[in-house]
Amino acid sequence: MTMSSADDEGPLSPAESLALISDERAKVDRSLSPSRALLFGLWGATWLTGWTLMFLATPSGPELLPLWLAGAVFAAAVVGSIALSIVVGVRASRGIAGQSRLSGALYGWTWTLGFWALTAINVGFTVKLGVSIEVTALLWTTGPLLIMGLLTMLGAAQRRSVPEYGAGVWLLLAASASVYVGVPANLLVLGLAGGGALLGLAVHFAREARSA
Amino acid sequence: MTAGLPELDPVIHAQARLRVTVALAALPSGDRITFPRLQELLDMTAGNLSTHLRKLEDAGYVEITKAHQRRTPVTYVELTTKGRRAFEDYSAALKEMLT
Repeated sequence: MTMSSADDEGPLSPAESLALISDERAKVDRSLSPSRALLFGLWGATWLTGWTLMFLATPSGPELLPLWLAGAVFAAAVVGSIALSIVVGVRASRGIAGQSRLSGALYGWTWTLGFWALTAINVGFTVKLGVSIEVTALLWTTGPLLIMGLLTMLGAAQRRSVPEYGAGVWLLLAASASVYVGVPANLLVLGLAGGGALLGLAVHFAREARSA
Repeated sequence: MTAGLPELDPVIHAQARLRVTVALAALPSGDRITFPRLQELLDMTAGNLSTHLRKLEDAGYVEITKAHQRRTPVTYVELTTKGRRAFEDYSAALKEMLT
């Protein structure tokens, strides 16, 4: 369906009408919802490079680069990913008002509040209970993966997306496994298994978008 | 609007209005879209879109509301329950014709 034919009022056959409905629907859906391929790709790349760099920098590990450098690169990537996610979300929902706006805002706040609570809990453990460096490292790494896994599963349940749900389950498994492998291998589990799952999803959604 | 056996709703069965209806039906019920965003989604001229929206509004398929956001007037468009139903009936009639 070309744009210039929008003005044509020539009668459509039933088959042409049905084809127009599905083409238009796919096109409209694509511009109304943020690209999941882009979002998962972005977070997958951040996660994979960030945790792998942290692993390469750990004092008890390979120590290939200074810890502050790995931490700074990771933090910058996370901040950049958050900003880009917000831009992508806002762009897709501009000009839309009504009930789904509230549900989208509540969903977004769930992520933010979840990570704030996790930070408060971890700081509490570290400061109040004086847990060891090893326990601290495990707390800071496994918590985000647990939250990401659960929220990915929730989003998948809402969209009835089985592959996305599977990736969420995988993230839960990775979160659990990371505690058992200990420090610093847990960082590698987070980077490879966690980031890998997100990148896999990105590829899945990119393929889905192309075939739609 | 009594649709007998598969008979296509003339309000929807015109290429441009069908595209408008499909775009509005893609929004979850209870959501509305601004005129400029709808225009951008459909790549239609403002005049053309207005004409088709008026026809859909006359049939009771579309509701147009005007609101103010920071003193700027904003026009919102949404599919009514009647419009959503008419679109479902139209799609069902098409499928019936092809079987």
